[in-house]
Amino acid sequence: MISPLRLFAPLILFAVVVTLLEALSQSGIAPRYLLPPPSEVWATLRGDAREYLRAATITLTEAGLGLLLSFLVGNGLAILMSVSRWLSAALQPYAVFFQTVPLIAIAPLLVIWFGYGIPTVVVAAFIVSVFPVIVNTLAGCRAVEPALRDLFRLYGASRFQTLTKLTLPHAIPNMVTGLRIAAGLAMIGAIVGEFIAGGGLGGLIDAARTQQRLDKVFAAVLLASLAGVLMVGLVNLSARVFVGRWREPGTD
Amino acid sequence: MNSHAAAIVFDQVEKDFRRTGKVIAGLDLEIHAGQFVALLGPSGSGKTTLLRLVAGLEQPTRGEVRVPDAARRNRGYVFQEAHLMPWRSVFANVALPLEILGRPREEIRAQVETSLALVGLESAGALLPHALSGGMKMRVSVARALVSKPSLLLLDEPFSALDEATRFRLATELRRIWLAAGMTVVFVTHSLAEAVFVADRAVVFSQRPLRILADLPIPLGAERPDRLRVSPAYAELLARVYEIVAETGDAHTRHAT
Repeated sequence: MISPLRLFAPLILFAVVVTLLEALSQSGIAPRYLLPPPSEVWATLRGDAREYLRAATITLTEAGLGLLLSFLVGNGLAILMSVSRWLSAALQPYAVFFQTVPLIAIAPLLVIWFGYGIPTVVVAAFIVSVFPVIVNTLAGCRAVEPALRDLFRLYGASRFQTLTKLTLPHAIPNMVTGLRIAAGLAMIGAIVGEFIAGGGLGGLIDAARTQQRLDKVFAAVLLASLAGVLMVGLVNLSARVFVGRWREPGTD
Repeated sequence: MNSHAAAIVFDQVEKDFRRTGKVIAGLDLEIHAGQFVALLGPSGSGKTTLLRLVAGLEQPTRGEVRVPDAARRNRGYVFQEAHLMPWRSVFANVALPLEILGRPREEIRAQVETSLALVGLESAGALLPHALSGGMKMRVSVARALVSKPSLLLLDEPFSALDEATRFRLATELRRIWLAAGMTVVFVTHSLAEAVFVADRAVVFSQRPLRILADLPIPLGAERPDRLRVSPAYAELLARVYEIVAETGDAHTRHAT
Protein backbone atom coordinates (compact mmCIF):
# COMPACT_ATOMS: atom_id res chain seq x y z
CA MET A 1 0.00 0.00 0.00
CA ILE A 2 1.12 3.56 -0.67
CA SER A 3 1.83 5.46 2.52
CA PRO A 4 0.10 8.85 3.03
CA LEU A 5 3.48 10.56 2.88
CA ARG A 6 4.31 9.09 -0.51
CA LEU A 7 0.86 9.97 -1.81
CA PHE A 8 0.48 13.51 -0.49
CA ALA A 9 4.01 14.89 -0.58
CA PRO A 10 4.19 14.88 -4.41
CA LEU A 11 0.67 16.33 -4.67
CA ILE A 12 1.53 19.19 -2.31
CA LEU A 13 4.72 19.91 -4.25
CA PHE A 14 2.70 19.90 -7.50
CA ALA A 15 0.19 22.37 -6.06
CA VAL A 16 2.96 24.69 -4.87
CA VAL A 17 4.76 24.70 -8.24
CA VAL A 18 1.51 25.23 -10.20
CA THR A 19 0.49 28.13 -7.94
CA LEU A 20 3.93 29.67 -8.28
CA LEU A 21 3.88 29.40 -12.08
CA GLU A 22 0.36 30.83 -12.20
CA ALA A 23 1.43 33.78 -10.05
CA LEU A 24 4.58 34.41 -12.11
CA SER A 25 2.60 34.39 -15.32
CA GLN A 26 -0.49 36.31 -14.16
CA SER A 27 1.58 39.04 -12.51
CA GLY A 28 3.40 39.63 -15.78
CA ILE A 29 6.85 38.84 -14.34
CA ALA A 30 7.09 36.07 -16.94
CA PRO A 31 5.49 36.99 -20.27
CA ARG A 32 2.58 34.78 -21.33
CA TYR A 33 4.11 33.85 -24.65
CA LEU A 34 7.13 32.41 -22.83
CA LEU A 35 5.41 30.89 -19.85
CA PRO A 36 1.66 30.33 -20.27
CA PRO A 37 -0.14 30.15 -16.90
CA PRO A 38 -1.14 26.62 -15.86
CA SER A 39 -4.81 27.63 -15.99
CA GLU A 40 -4.42 28.39 -19.70
CA VAL A 41 -2.64 25.07 -20.31
CA TRP A 42 -5.47 23.29 -18.52
CA ALA A 43 -8.08 25.21 -20.63
CA THR A 44 -6.27 24.20 -23.84
CA LEU A 45 -6.11 20.60 -22.68
CA ARG A 46 -9.82 20.55 -21.84
CA GLY A 47 -10.81 22.39 -25.01
CA ASP A 48 -9.09 19.87 -27.27
CA ALA A 49 -9.40 16.92 -24.91
CA ARG A 50 -10.42 14.53 -27.66
CA GLU A 51 -7.45 15.39 -29.86
CA TYR A 52 -4.95 15.18 -26.99
CA LEU A 53 -6.31 11.87 -25.76
CA ARG A 54 -6.15 10.41 -29.25
CA ALA A 55 -2.56 11.60 -29.62
CA ALA A 56 -1.64 10.20 -26.21
CA THR A 57 -3.20 6.86 -27.12
CA ILE A 58 -1.16 6.70 -30.31
CA THR A 59 2.06 7.60 -28.51
CA LEU A 60 1.39 5.08 -25.75
CA THR A 61 0.66 2.36 -28.30
CA GLU A 62 3.85 3.11 -30.20
CA ALA A 63 5.94 3.23 -27.04
CA GLY A 64 4.26 0.05 -25.82
CA LEU A 65 5.02 -1.77 -29.09
CA GLY A 66 8.60 -0.51 -28.99
CA LEU A 67 8.91 -1.76 -25.42
CA LEU A 68 7.46 -5.13 -26.36
CA LEU A 69 9.98 -5.37 -29.18
CA SER A 70 12.77 -4.48 -26.75
CA PHE A 71 11.52 -7.10 -24.32
CA LEU A 72 11.53 -9.83 -26.97
CA VAL A 73 14.68 -8.88 -28.86
CA GLY A 74 16.62 -7.67 -25.81
CA ASN A 75 15.93 -10.75 -23.70
CA GLY A 76 16.51 -12.99 -26.70
CA LEU A 77 19.91 -11.44 -27.33
CA ALA A 78 20.81 -11.51 -23.63
CA ILE A 79 19.96 -15.20 -23.41
CA LEU A 80 22.02 -16.01 -26.49
CA MET A 81 24.90 -13.99 -25.06
CA SER A 82 24.67 -15.78 -21.73
CA VAL A 83 24.71 -19.19 -23.39
CA SER A 84 27.52 -18.57 -25.85
CA ARG A 85 30.78 -16.89 -24.99
CA TRP A 86 31.43 -16.39 -28.69
CA LEU A 87 28.13 -14.66 -29.35
CA SER A 88 28.61 -12.56 -26.26
CA ALA A 89 31.95 -11.28 -27.48
CA ALA A 90 30.57 -10.72 -30.98
CA LEU A 91 27.44 -8.85 -29.88
CA GLN A 92 28.78 -6.75 -27.01
CA PRO A 93 30.03 -3.78 -29.06
CA TYR A 94 26.80 -3.64 -31.07
CA ALA A 95 24.73 -3.66 -27.91
CA VAL A 96 26.65 -0.60 -26.79
CA PHE A 97 25.81 0.96 -30.15
CA PHE A 98 22.16 0.97 -29.16
CA GLN A 99 23.01 2.82 -25.98
CA THR A 100 25.12 5.49 -27.59
CA VAL A 101 23.37 6.08 -30.91
CA PRO A 102 21.92 9.60 -31.07
CA LEU A 103 18.37 8.79 -32.03
CA ILE A 104 17.68 12.24 -33.39
CA ALA A 105 20.52 11.77 -35.88
CA ILE A 106 19.27 8.51 -37.31
CA ALA A 107 15.55 9.31 -37.11
CA PRO A 108 15.51 10.76 -40.66
CA LEU A 109 17.05 7.50 -41.82
CA LEU A 110 14.26 5.57 -40.10
CA VAL A 111 11.69 7.71 -41.92
CA ILE A 112 13.29 6.81 -45.24
CA TRP A 113 13.23 3.11 -44.35
CA PHE A 114 9.89 2.84 -42.59
CA GLY A 115 7.97 5.87 -43.87
CA TYR A 116 6.04 8.58 -42.01
CA GLY A 117 3.97 6.84 -39.39
CA ILE A 118 3.75 4.29 -36.68
CA PRO A 119 6.46 1.77 -37.74
CA THR A 120 9.19 4.43 -37.65
CA VAL A 121 8.13 5.58 -34.19
CA VAL A 122 7.99 2.01 -32.88
CA VAL A 123 11.51 1.37 -34.15
CA ALA A 124 12.71 4.60 -32.55
CA ALA A 125 11.19 3.56 -29.21
CA PHE A 126 12.81 0.15 -29.61
CA ILE A 127 16.27 1.53 -30.38
CA VAL A 128 16.50 3.67 -27.25
CA SER A 129 14.93 1.10 -24.91
CA VAL A 130 16.60 -2.16 -25.89
CA PHE A 131 20.00 -1.59 -24.27
CA PRO A 132 18.93 -1.62 -20.61
CA VAL A 133 16.94 -4.79 -21.29
CA ILE A 134 20.00 -6.55 -22.72
CA VAL A 135 22.36 -5.35 -20.00
CA ASN A 136 20.11 -6.14 -17.05
CA THR A 137 18.97 -9.55 -18.24
CA LEU A 138 22.53 -10.51 -19.13
CA ALA A 139 23.76 -9.42 -15.70
CA GLY A 140 21.05 -11.53 -14.09
CA CYS A 141 21.93 -14.56 -16.20
CA ARG A 142 25.60 -14.22 -15.31
CA ALA A 143 25.05 -13.72 -11.58
CA VAL A 144 23.85 -17.29 -11.00
CA GLU A 145 25.71 -18.80 -8.03
CA PRO A 146 28.47 -21.16 -9.22
CA ALA A 147 27.32 -23.74 -6.65
CA LEU A 148 23.92 -23.97 -8.36
CA ARG A 149 25.61 -24.38 -11.73
CA ASP A 150 27.65 -27.19 -10.19
CA LEU A 151 24.47 -28.77 -8.89
CA PHE A 152 23.04 -28.83 -12.42
CA ARG A 153 26.28 -30.29 -13.77
CA LEU A 154 26.25 -32.94 -11.06
CA TYR A 155 22.95 -34.31 -12.32
CA GLY A 156 23.95 -34.00 -15.95
CA ALA A 157 21.48 -31.23 -16.80
CA SER A 158 21.26 -30.25 -20.47
CA ARG A 159 21.93 -26.68 -21.56
CA PHE A 160 18.22 -26.23 -22.08
CA GLN A 161 17.39 -27.46 -18.58
CA THR A 162 20.01 -25.19 -17.06
CA LEU A 163 18.59 -22.26 -19.01
CA THR A 164 14.92 -22.83 -18.20
CA LYS A 165 15.23 -24.10 -14.64
CA LEU A 166 18.14 -22.00 -13.42
CA THR A 167 19.41 -19.11 -15.52
CA LEU A 168 16.11 -17.57 -16.61
CA PRO A 169 14.26 -17.82 -13.30
CA HIS A 170 17.32 -16.38 -11.61
CA ALA A 171 17.41 -13.44 -14.04
CA ILE A 172 13.78 -12.45 -13.63
CA PRO A 173 14.28 -9.69 -11.02
CA ASN A 174 16.93 -8.17 -13.30
CA MET A 175 14.58 -8.48 -16.27
CA VAL A 176 12.00 -6.46 -14.36
CA THR A 177 14.57 -3.79 -13.53
CA GLY A 178 15.62 -3.58 -17.17
CA LEU A 179 12.05 -3.35 -18.35
CA ARG A 180 11.27 -0.61 -15.84
CA ILE A 181 14.15 1.52 -17.15
CA ALA A 182 13.22 0.65 -20.73
CA ALA A 183 9.57 1.72 -20.23
CA GLY A 184 10.56 5.34 -19.57
CA LEU A 185 13.07 5.33 -22.40
CA ALA A 186 10.55 3.86 -24.87
CA MET A 187 8.26 6.81 -24.14
CA ILE A 188 11.09 9.27 -24.86
CA GLY A 189 12.01 7.34 -28.00
CA ALA A 190 8.42 7.44 -29.23
CA ILE A 191 8.12 11.21 -28.74
CA VAL A 192 11.44 11.87 -30.48
CA GLY A 193 10.37 9.54 -33.28
CA GLU A 194 7.11 11.46 -33.66
CA PHE A 195 9.01 14.74 -33.94
CA ILE A 196 10.34 13.46 -37.25
CA ALA A 197 7.70 10.98 -38.37
CA GLY A 198 4.67 12.94 -37.14
CA GLY A 199 1.58 11.86 -35.23
CA GLY A 200 0.94 11.40 -31.53
CA LEU A 201 2.00 13.78 -28.78
CA GLY A 202 5.40 14.35 -30.40
CA GLY A 203 3.65 15.48 -33.58
CA LEU A 204 1.41 17.82 -31.57
CA ILE A 205 4.41 19.31 -29.74
CA ASP A 206 6.25 19.85 -33.00
CA ALA A 207 3.26 21.52 -34.65
CA ALA A 208 2.51 23.71 -31.60
CA ARG A 209 6.16 24.75 -31.41
CA THR A 210 6.12 26.08 -34.98
CA GLN A 211 2.94 28.06 -34.14
CA GLN A 212 4.53 29.48 -30.98
CA ARG A 213 1.63 27.96 -29.02
CA LEU A 214 3.41 27.22 -25.77
CA ASP A 215 0.13 26.39 -24.01
CA LYS A 216 -0.28 23.51 -26.48
CA VAL A 217 3.33 22.43 -26.02
CA PHE A 218 2.89 22.34 -22.26
CA ALA A 219 -0.41 20.48 -22.53
CA ALA A 220 1.19 17.80 -24.69
CA VAL A 221 4.28 17.57 -22.49
CA LEU A 222 2.07 17.16 -19.45
CA LEU A 223 0.22 14.30 -21.11
CA ALA A 224 3.47 12.73 -22.29
CA SER A 225 4.78 12.69 -18.73
CA LEU A 226 1.57 11.16 -17.45
CA ALA A 227 1.76 8.53 -20.21
CA GLY A 228 5.33 7.75 -19.18
CA VAL A 229 4.30 7.34 -15.56
CA LEU A 230 1.47 5.09 -16.70
CA MET A 231 3.88 2.89 -18.70
CA VAL A 232 6.28 2.46 -15.80
CA GLY A 233 3.33 1.83 -13.50
CA LEU A 234 2.02 -0.91 -15.80
CA VAL A 235 5.42 -2.59 -15.84
CA ASN A 236 5.59 -2.44 -12.03
CA LEU A 237 2.09 -3.80 -11.72
CA SER A 238 2.66 -6.72 -14.08
CA ALA A 239 5.95 -7.44 -12.33
CA ARG A 240 4.14 -7.64 -9.02
CA VAL A 241 1.41 -9.86 -10.43
CA PHE A 242 3.59 -12.27 -12.39
CA VAL A 243 6.85 -12.47 -10.47
CA GLY A 244 5.92 -11.42 -6.95
CA ARG A 245 7.64 -14.31 -5.23
CA TRP A 246 11.03 -13.42 -6.74
CA ARG A 247 10.95 -10.20 -4.78
CA GLU A 248 10.07 -11.62 -1.40
CA PRO A 249 11.96 -9.87 1.36
CA GLY A 250 15.05 -11.64 2.62
CA THR A 251 15.63 -13.78 -0.45
CA ASP A 252 19.31 -14.27 -0.92
CA MET B 1 34.45 -53.60 4.72
CA ASN B 2 33.52 -54.00 1.08
CA SER B 3 35.59 -55.24 -1.78
CA HIS B 4 38.40 -53.26 -3.28
CA ALA B 5 36.51 -52.71 -6.52
CA ALA B 6 33.78 -50.72 -4.79
CA ALA B 7 36.17 -48.19 -3.28
CA ILE B 8 36.88 -44.60 -4.22
CA VAL B 9 40.59 -44.52 -5.01
CA PHE B 10 42.98 -41.58 -5.33
CA ASP B 11 46.02 -42.82 -7.19
CA GLN B 12 48.96 -40.38 -7.09
CA VAL B 13 46.58 -37.49 -7.64
CA GLU B 14 47.92 -34.01 -8.29
CA LYS B 15 45.86 -30.93 -8.90
CA ASP B 16 47.27 -27.60 -10.03
CA PHE B 17 45.26 -24.46 -10.56
CA ARG B 18 46.64 -21.79 -12.82
CA ARG B 19 46.01 -19.05 -10.29
CA THR B 20 46.74 -20.72 -6.97
CA GLY B 21 49.35 -23.28 -8.00
CA LYS B 22 49.58 -26.79 -6.60
CA VAL B 23 46.65 -27.68 -4.34
CA ILE B 24 47.10 -31.44 -4.10
CA ALA B 25 50.47 -33.19 -4.43
CA GLY B 26 50.77 -36.94 -4.96
CA LEU B 27 47.76 -38.07 -2.95
CA ASP B 28 46.97 -41.75 -2.36
CA LEU B 29 43.71 -42.42 -0.57
CA GLU B 30 41.10 -45.16 -0.53
CA ILE B 31 37.56 -44.77 0.72
CA HIS B 32 35.58 -47.99 0.99
CA ALA B 33 31.95 -48.30 -0.01
CA GLY B 34 29.59 -47.68 2.87
CA GLN B 35 32.20 -45.87 4.95
CA PHE B 36 31.52 -42.59 6.78
CA VAL B 37 34.77 -40.67 6.34
CA ALA B 38 35.59 -37.23 7.64
CA LEU B 39 38.23 -35.27 5.76
CA LEU B 40 39.85 -32.84 8.18
CA GLY B 41 42.09 -29.96 7.40
CA PRO B 42 42.63 -26.26 7.82
CA SER B 43 40.59 -23.85 5.72
CA GLY B 44 42.08 -23.41 2.30
CA SER B 45 43.95 -26.71 2.42
CA GLY B 46 42.26 -28.08 -0.68
CA LYS B 47 39.62 -30.31 0.92
CA THR B 48 36.92 -28.84 -1.26
CA THR B 49 39.01 -29.57 -4.35
CA LEU B 50 39.33 -33.15 -3.14
CA LEU B 51 35.57 -33.44 -2.85
CA ARG B 52 35.04 -31.87 -6.26
CA LEU B 53 37.44 -34.41 -7.76
CA VAL B 54 35.33 -37.22 -6.33
CA ALA B 55 32.16 -35.56 -7.63
CA GLY B 56 33.66 -35.23 -11.10
CA LEU B 57 33.33 -31.43 -10.97
CA GLU B 58 37.14 -31.20 -11.36
CA GLN B 59 39.62 -33.40 -13.17
CA PRO B 60 43.04 -34.23 -11.71
CA THR B 61 46.06 -32.63 -13.37
CA ARG B 62 48.01 -35.87 -12.92
CA GLY B 63 47.10 -39.27 -11.52
CA GLU B 64 43.67 -40.81 -11.36
CA VAL B 65 40.52 -40.62 -9.24
CA ARG B 66 38.54 -43.84 -9.55
CA VAL B 67 34.92 -43.73 -8.46
CA PRO B 68 32.75 -46.88 -8.57
CA ASP B 69 30.07 -46.80 -11.27
CA ALA B 70 27.12 -46.75 -8.89
CA ALA B 71 28.57 -43.78 -7.03
CA ARG B 72 29.49 -41.99 -10.23
CA ARG B 73 25.98 -42.34 -11.58
CA ASN B 74 24.21 -41.30 -8.42
CA ARG B 75 25.86 -38.98 -5.94
CA GLY B 76 24.55 -36.23 -3.73
CA TYR B 77 26.47 -33.07 -2.90
CA VAL B 78 25.89 -30.65 -0.04
CA PHE B 79 27.62 -27.29 -0.28
CA GLN B 80 28.96 -25.06 2.47
CA GLU B 81 25.82 -23.00 2.24
CA ALA B 82 22.34 -24.25 1.47
CA HIS B 83 22.23 -22.70 -2.03
CA LEU B 84 18.49 -23.09 -2.47
CA MET B 85 16.62 -21.47 -5.32
CA PRO B 86 14.67 -18.63 -3.68
CA TRP B 87 11.82 -18.79 -6.20
CA ARG B 88 11.15 -22.48 -5.60
CA SER B 89 9.25 -23.92 -2.66
CA VAL B 90 11.02 -26.32 -0.32
CA PHE B 91 9.31 -29.17 -2.13
CA ALA B 92 10.36 -27.93 -5.57
CA ASN B 93 13.92 -27.33 -4.40
CA VAL B 94 14.21 -30.91 -3.20
CA ALA B 95 12.55 -32.17 -6.38
CA LEU B 96 15.09 -30.45 -8.64
CA PRO B 97 17.59 -33.33 -9.07
CA LEU B 98 14.79 -35.74 -10.02
CA GLU B 99 13.33 -33.18 -12.43
CA ILE B 100 16.69 -32.87 -14.14
CA LEU B 101 16.95 -36.66 -14.30
CA GLY B 102 13.52 -36.70 -15.96
CA ARG B 103 11.79 -38.96 -13.44
CA PRO B 104 8.01 -39.36 -13.59
CA ARG B 105 5.88 -37.02 -11.49
CA GLU B 106 4.53 -39.62 -9.04
CA GLU B 107 7.99 -40.94 -8.32
CA ILE B 108 9.25 -37.42 -7.70
CA ARG B 109 6.42 -36.71 -5.27
CA ALA B 110 7.01 -39.90 -3.31
CA GLN B 111 10.77 -39.50 -3.12
CA VAL B 112 10.64 -35.82 -2.17
CA GLU B 113 8.26 -36.67 0.65
CA THR B 114 10.52 -39.47 1.86
CA SER B 115 13.53 -37.21 1.67
CA LEU B 116 11.84 -34.34 3.54
CA ALA B 117 10.75 -36.78 6.23
CA LEU B 118 14.36 -37.93 6.64
CA VAL B 119 15.41 -34.42 7.61
CA GLY B 120 12.29 -33.75 9.66
CA LEU B 121 10.71 -31.23 7.30
CA GLU B 122 7.67 -33.20 6.10
CA SER B 123 5.33 -30.28 6.81
CA ALA B 124 7.52 -27.55 5.29
CA GLY B 125 7.17 -28.49 1.62
CA ALA B 126 5.06 -25.50 0.64
CA LEU B 127 7.30 -22.87 2.26
CA LEU B 128 9.65 -20.64 0.32
CA PRO B 129 13.31 -20.62 1.38
CA HIS B 130 13.20 -17.06 2.73
CA ALA B 131 10.79 -18.25 5.40
CA LEU B 132 13.31 -20.78 6.75
CA SER B 133 16.01 -20.49 9.41
CA GLY B 134 19.63 -21.25 8.51
CA GLY B 135 19.35 -24.73 10.01
CA MET B 136 16.16 -25.49 8.11
CA LYS B 137 17.71 -24.30 4.84
CA MET B 138 20.59 -26.69 5.42
CA ARG B 139 18.16 -29.53 6.09
CA VAL B 140 16.44 -28.79 2.77
CA SER B 141 19.83 -28.83 1.11
CA VAL B 142 20.58 -32.24 2.65
CA ALA B 143 17.13 -33.50 1.57
CA ARG B 144 17.90 -32.35 -1.98
CA ALA B 145 21.17 -34.30 -1.94
CA LEU B 146 19.39 -37.41 -0.63
CA VAL B 147 16.37 -37.30 -2.94
CA SER B 148 17.94 -39.38 -5.71
CA LYS B 149 18.85 -42.09 -3.16
CA PRO B 150 22.57 -41.67 -3.85
CA SER B 151 25.10 -44.36 -3.09
CA LEU B 152 27.64 -41.60 -2.39
CA LEU B 153 26.99 -38.46 -0.34
CA LEU B 154 29.56 -35.67 -0.44
CA LEU B 155 29.35 -32.88 2.11
CA ASP B 156 31.56 -29.79 2.04
CA GLU B 157 31.62 -28.21 5.51
CA PRO B 158 27.85 -28.29 5.42
CA PHE B 159 27.17 -27.06 8.95
CA SER B 160 29.97 -24.54 9.38
CA ALA B 161 27.67 -21.52 9.04
CA LEU B 162 25.23 -22.74 11.70
CA ASP B 163 25.11 -22.22 15.44
CA GLU B 164 26.57 -24.94 17.63
CA ALA B 165 23.31 -26.50 18.85
CA THR B 166 21.97 -26.78 15.29
CA ARG B 167 25.29 -28.15 14.12
CA PHE B 168 25.22 -30.88 16.78
CA ARG B 169 21.66 -31.83 15.94
CA LEU B 170 22.30 -32.02 12.21
CA ALA B 171 25.43 -34.12 12.73
CA THR B 172 23.42 -36.59 14.80
CA GLU B 173 20.73 -36.71 12.12
CA LEU B 174 23.26 -37.18 9.36
CA ARG B 175 24.69 -40.14 11.26
CA ARG B 176 21.19 -41.59 11.66
CA ILE B 177 20.42 -41.14 7.95
CA TRP B 178 23.69 -42.84 7.05
CA LEU B 179 22.92 -45.78 9.35
CA ALA B 180 19.51 -46.20 7.72
CA ALA B 181 20.56 -45.73 4.08
CA GLY B 182 24.05 -47.22 4.12
CA MET B 183 25.61 -45.05 1.46
CA THR B 184 29.23 -43.89 1.41
CA VAL B 185 29.59 -40.52 3.12
CA VAL B 186 32.53 -38.19 2.60
CA PHE B 187 32.28 -35.34 5.05
CA VAL B 188 34.67 -32.42 4.74
CA THR B 189 35.12 -30.29 7.83
CA HIS B 190 37.64 -28.15 9.65
CA SER B 191 36.10 -29.01 13.03
CA LEU B 192 38.02 -31.79 14.77
CA ALA B 193 35.24 -32.33 17.31
CA GLU B 194 32.60 -32.67 14.60
CA ALA B 195 34.71 -35.16 12.64
CA VAL B 196 35.38 -37.38 15.63
CA PHE B 197 31.73 -37.32 16.66
CA VAL B 198 30.16 -38.12 13.33
CA ALA B 199 32.58 -40.31 11.32
CA ASP B 200 34.04 -43.81 11.46
CA ARG B 201 37.32 -42.67 10.04
CA ALA B 202 39.08 -39.34 10.08
CA VAL B 203 41.72 -38.41 7.54
CA VAL B 204 43.71 -35.39 8.69
CA PHE B 205 45.27 -33.22 6.00
CA SER B 206 48.07 -30.69 6.03
CA GLN B 207 48.04 -27.13 4.83
CA ARG B 208 48.22 -26.76 1.03
CA PRO B 209 49.60 -28.51 -0.95
CA LEU B 210 47.39 -31.05 0.66
CA ARG B 211 48.89 -34.30 1.98
CA ILE B 212 47.78 -36.83 4.59
CA LEU B 213 49.03 -36.26 8.17
CA ALA B 214 47.05 -39.03 9.82
CA ASP B 215 44.39 -41.59 9.00
CA LEU B 216 42.52 -42.70 12.09
CA PRO B 217 39.67 -45.11 12.73
CA ILE B 218 37.02 -43.72 15.10
CA PRO B 219 35.81 -46.81 16.96
CA LEU B 220 32.95 -45.19 18.86
CA GLY B 221 30.20 -47.56 17.71
CA ALA B 222 27.45 -47.26 15.15
CA GLU B 223 25.01 -45.29 17.29
CA ARG B 224 26.29 -41.91 18.39
CA PRO B 225 24.05 -40.53 21.13
CA ASP B 226 24.49 -36.90 22.21
CA ARG B 227 26.02 -37.86 25.54
CA LEU B 228 28.92 -39.37 23.59
CA ARG B 229 30.20 -35.80 23.32
CA VAL B 230 31.02 -35.84 27.05
CA SER B 231 32.24 -39.45 27.26
CA PRO B 232 35.89 -40.30 28.12
CA ALA B 233 36.31 -42.42 24.99
CA TYR B 234 35.31 -39.46 22.78
CA ALA B 235 37.49 -37.04 24.72
CA GLU B 236 40.48 -39.34 24.44
CA LEU B 237 40.10 -39.75 20.68
CA LEU B 238 39.63 -36.05 20.22
CA ALA B 239 42.75 -35.37 22.29
CA ARG B 240 44.72 -37.70 20.03
CA VAL B 241 43.55 -35.90 16.94
CA TYR B 242 44.47 -32.56 18.54
CA GLU B 243 47.93 -33.92 19.34
CA ILE B 244 48.50 -35.08 15.80
CA VAL B 245 47.49 -31.72 14.47
CA ALA B 246 49.62 -29.86 17.04
CA GLU B 247 52.70 -32.03 16.40
CA THR B 248 52.60 -31.34 12.72
CA GLY B 249 52.64 -27.66 13.51
CA ASP B 250 51.32 -25.92 10.46
CA ALA B 251 48.25 -28.09 10.16
CA HIS B 252 45.48 -26.30 11.92
CA THR B 253 45.86 -22.66 11.18
CA ARG B 254 42.32 -21.60 10.54
CA HIS B 255 43.28 -19.01 7.98
CA ALA B 256 43.76 -19.80 4.35
CA THR B 257 47.11 -19.13 2.75
